[in-house]
Amino acid sequence: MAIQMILCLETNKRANTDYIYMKETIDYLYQKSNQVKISIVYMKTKSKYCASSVLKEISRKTKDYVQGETKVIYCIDTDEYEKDTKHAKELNDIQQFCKRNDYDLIWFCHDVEEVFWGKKIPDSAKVQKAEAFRRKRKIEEMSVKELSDDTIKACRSNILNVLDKYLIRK
Amino acid sequence: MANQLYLLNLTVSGVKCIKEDVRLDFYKKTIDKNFNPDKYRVKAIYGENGSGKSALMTAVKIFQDLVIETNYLMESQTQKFLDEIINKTTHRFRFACEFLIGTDKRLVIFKYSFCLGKNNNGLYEIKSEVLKVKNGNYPNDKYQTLFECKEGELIYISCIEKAKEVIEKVTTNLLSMQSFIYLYITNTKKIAVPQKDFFDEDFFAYMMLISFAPLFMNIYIPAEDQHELYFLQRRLKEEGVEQKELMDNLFAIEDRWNIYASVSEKYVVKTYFKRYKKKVNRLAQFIKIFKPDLVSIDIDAKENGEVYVCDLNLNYGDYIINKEFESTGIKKLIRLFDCFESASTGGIVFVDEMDANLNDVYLCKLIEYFMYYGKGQLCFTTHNLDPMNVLKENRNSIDFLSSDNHLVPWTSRGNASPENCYKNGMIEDSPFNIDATDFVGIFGE
Repeated sequence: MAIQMILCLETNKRANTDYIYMKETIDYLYQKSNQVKISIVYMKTKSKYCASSVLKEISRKTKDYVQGETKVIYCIDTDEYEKDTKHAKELNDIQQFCKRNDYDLIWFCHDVEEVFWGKKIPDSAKVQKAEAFRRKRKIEEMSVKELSDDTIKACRSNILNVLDKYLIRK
Repeated sequence: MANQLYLLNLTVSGVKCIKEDVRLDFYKKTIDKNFNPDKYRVKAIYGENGSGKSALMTAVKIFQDLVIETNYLMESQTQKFLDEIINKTTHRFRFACEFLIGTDKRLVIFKYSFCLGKNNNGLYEIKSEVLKVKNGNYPNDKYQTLFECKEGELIYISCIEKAKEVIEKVTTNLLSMQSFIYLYITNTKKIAVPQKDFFDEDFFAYMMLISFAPLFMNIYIPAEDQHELYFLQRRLKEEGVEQKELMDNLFAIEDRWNIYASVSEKYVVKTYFKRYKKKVNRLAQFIKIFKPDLVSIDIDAKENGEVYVCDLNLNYGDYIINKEFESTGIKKLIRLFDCFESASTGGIVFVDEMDANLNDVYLCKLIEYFMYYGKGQLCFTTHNLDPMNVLKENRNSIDFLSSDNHLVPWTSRGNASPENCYKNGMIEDSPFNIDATDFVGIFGE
């Protein structure tokens, strides 16, 4: 059965380092299949998770994919949710939103770089680090456990738990 | 209904990356006396790089060569070519096709298939070859086998007993390396003599009809996919051939090129020269559409025994350019001229990478011409998405070949355009999961 995964990313096309890490994960751990279509919706910021432009884009991509089922997956950084109530509320709102709409949620705590590098990366070095991650094949050093956590904690993500539902491991 | 030849479908497996059957359908499923191919004359095949588009074109070329070329399988170059081109895991090349040949009164459908496989000496030979025929006026008519060969033996032939004896005589021990059709049509003086008691008129008529099919095909494969240069280079390295032999081989390649681009034939038999001149005049008219300042195309003909050695010069009034020094696009148009002429007058044409070096606007207008005015068939591979907007008007005109060799024909989806669906990865089995970020970290230190 063909499936479309719509990944909703909290970036724009120009600063799309999140997807580099996700694509490295998908390519390294999962079988390539023409039955899986990966579409991306750029939300620009996390706060636009339910903006009409985002929902419209999801709806359009869902409608265009006639050969199978579409699954919507929000991919977000938790940010400092423990320290900042604004971040905590936003995270909770997105969790509730995904639950209501039967969407999946992939979280990276506190952000994608922290999960894949195990440390904070300053904004100015993010592109360079993403390049290095791919060039140095860093994905091969990643622990599957750190990418398949159920509970939100630093340097962890649930990415594999979600992807395992739709993709087949190598 | 005028006399016509139409390729209904073809099925190919075991060539390059194509392991399993890939079937191209050019017409709708049901064929009856109301057969009308007008909306089914042009087909474009789209697909990712390496999906097997060129393999399909090569397969058609192998079919044509096998049926019309003398000693095709006996040539060491052919064997080397097949060794490289036939799928490395299956080592079997299968080709099947259905042709419709129509006259004023009757439609005849032929189903021809063959399989090439390796013999004990590691050479490719014909493992099976079958030709069937049925009446195309009635959709429920059943196929009757005309002949069947297996492992070099003629195991069935539908003709009178005396004809069978004579045919067996001329085909014995040859059917592994030569197609039955080739052997039959090249031995008609021995086996198809009217008034003789071994002459089977019906069988003869069918064989003549089917032999037209490959003769009316024109297949254009770009230089890089023709492989001759590769084999020459390899041979040069392996055997250290002498300069003279190399030159002879290069000229032989040029001769084969002329099969595809006979308007730029180097050697023109004197008796055909008048016809050749007319053709070059038409070529000039054609090129003038793209280069209005072209005055004429002049033939530089030098006498050499039975032939003229010809070269073409494009005359722009103030200056003259030899065709070899024309722009890449114009050179391509010159080479394609024969294909286009064939497709517009009833031939069956396959062009690999039709869009290469051609301006988008010209390409779309040419395709439009064949859709509205062509009398033959044009099937081409391309990466250019613009023609989709033109092609979508017709039926069976756009096929998508996926990287796993699954062929998906375009079917109308309301207002959705095939172009958008394709480039957004919304065509079955062609998801195009590629993003600009995929190149991040690939280039540079």
